[in-house]
Amino acid sequence: MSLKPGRPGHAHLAIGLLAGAAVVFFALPLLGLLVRVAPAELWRQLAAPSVQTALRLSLYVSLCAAGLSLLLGLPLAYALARLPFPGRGLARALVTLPMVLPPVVGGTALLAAFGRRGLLGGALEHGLGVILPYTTGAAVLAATFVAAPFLVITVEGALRGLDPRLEQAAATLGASRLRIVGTVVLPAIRPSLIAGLALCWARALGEFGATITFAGNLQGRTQTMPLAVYEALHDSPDGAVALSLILLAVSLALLAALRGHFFKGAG
Amino acid sequence: MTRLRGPALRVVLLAAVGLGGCSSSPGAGKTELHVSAAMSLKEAFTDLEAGFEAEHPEVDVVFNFAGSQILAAQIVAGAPADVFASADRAQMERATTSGRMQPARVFARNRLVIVAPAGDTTIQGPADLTRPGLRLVLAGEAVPVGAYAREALSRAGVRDAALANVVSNEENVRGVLGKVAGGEADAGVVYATDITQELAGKVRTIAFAGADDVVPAYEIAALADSPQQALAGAFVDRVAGPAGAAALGKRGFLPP
Repeated sequence: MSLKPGRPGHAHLAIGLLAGAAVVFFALPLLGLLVRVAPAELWRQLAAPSVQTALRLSLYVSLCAAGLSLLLGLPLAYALARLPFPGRGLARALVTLPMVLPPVVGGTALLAAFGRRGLLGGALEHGLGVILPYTTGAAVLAATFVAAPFLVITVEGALRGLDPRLEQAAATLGASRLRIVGTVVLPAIRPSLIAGLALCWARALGEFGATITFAGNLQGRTQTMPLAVYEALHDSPDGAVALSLILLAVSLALLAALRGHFFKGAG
Repeated sequence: MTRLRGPALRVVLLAAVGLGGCSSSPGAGKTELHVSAAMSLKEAFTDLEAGFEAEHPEVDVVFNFAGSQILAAQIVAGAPADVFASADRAQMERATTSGRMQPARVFARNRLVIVAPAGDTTIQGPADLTRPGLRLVLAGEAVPVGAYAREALSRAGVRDAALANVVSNEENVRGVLGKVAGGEADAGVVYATDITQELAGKVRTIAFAGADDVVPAYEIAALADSPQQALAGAFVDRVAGPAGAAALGKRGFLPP
């Protein structure tokens, strides 16, 4: 599609207006957070034991989820990109599904699988004595369920874009498959791996719906920052804003640290 | 000055119309009466709706059911509402700090019960909630039923041991009931009226011995800044009057 010659002014004006509206739309809520809380209040909130508990738990849960995503997601991404196996399309669709699934549906599905009356829950409880729901482990699983796909999809895309002749060359030189992955593939996709891991971690840090559904809401055990924000919204709205600012700061720091990975060539 | 014409103008107009269309709610030209009511009132108030709308054919009653603490927070934050029905005095008082509430009156009472999944035989009373390893679900401290439950556990002398067993703080009473009915929790504390016919087969109800003086009381008031003062007042009167008493009684609520 091309713009009609002689009338770019109108098109640009319309695009500019809508783009400007978009920027205002994204900027206003953040500005609203910033002006709502005095720095002293923010400091007071940050020092509150309940906030520190939630922040610590959030970091713990999201880092565990990122680690679990890496452990399971990296081999999965490799398999999806490199190993032709029957049902690969189906496997990819299944793994991508949590990205578009409402998280509360994810939580309900996790209960249906790992809850006490779920598919595996009974066996877990009676066989191993493990009851997952309402534990920190459940919060980690919930976060992994929604966040791992970001890692898998990002890494798979990078692997597909990687010239297979590199690996072939290494193979003709006698390197084992594992050695090729370690010395050729991983270094080549490092930027995407870091970006995927960061996206995955950020998604895990922000997880709410699946967590409150599958893991419940208990301070120090399953009440992560987003759950604490939601609860504070009804008990102390200023506290909720302060907590939100803390999460915003963490997200901004992440974005700043990664800007080279996401926006290559952008100004 | 450059003027918008042709396709560009159409795009901008379309966006504006789309946004406008999304923000207006459906309704066939009727006056909407917004009633924010405690979650536990859901069935009783829904029963009352038809009668009220039959008397006021121009009105569509729109309910917002949630934990009273959420509704109170919404009112303090300026959310549009015409009537607020709270499951306890604390949340009505909190809503009143907004300066938007008319004086409130108590219109119904309730009773606390312990629930366990159907088939359970181990729980006989509040003392059993202290059993080590029991998975107890309560509503949060600010939720009326959560506050009543903590008070009742206190009266029964088992508060600290029972609270040590809490695995989740739910945001409303139905959240507690759902966790117990689904078998994920071993026990919970809810209102007697929450055990609807649909759920009666899934949970076992146990009397909360020792909680007789913890009597949940519901309060209702119109909002002073409601643009439909007369209608809001009429709804409050209906709930607090004979029609309301009958509907609430049918669902197991106690008179004020």
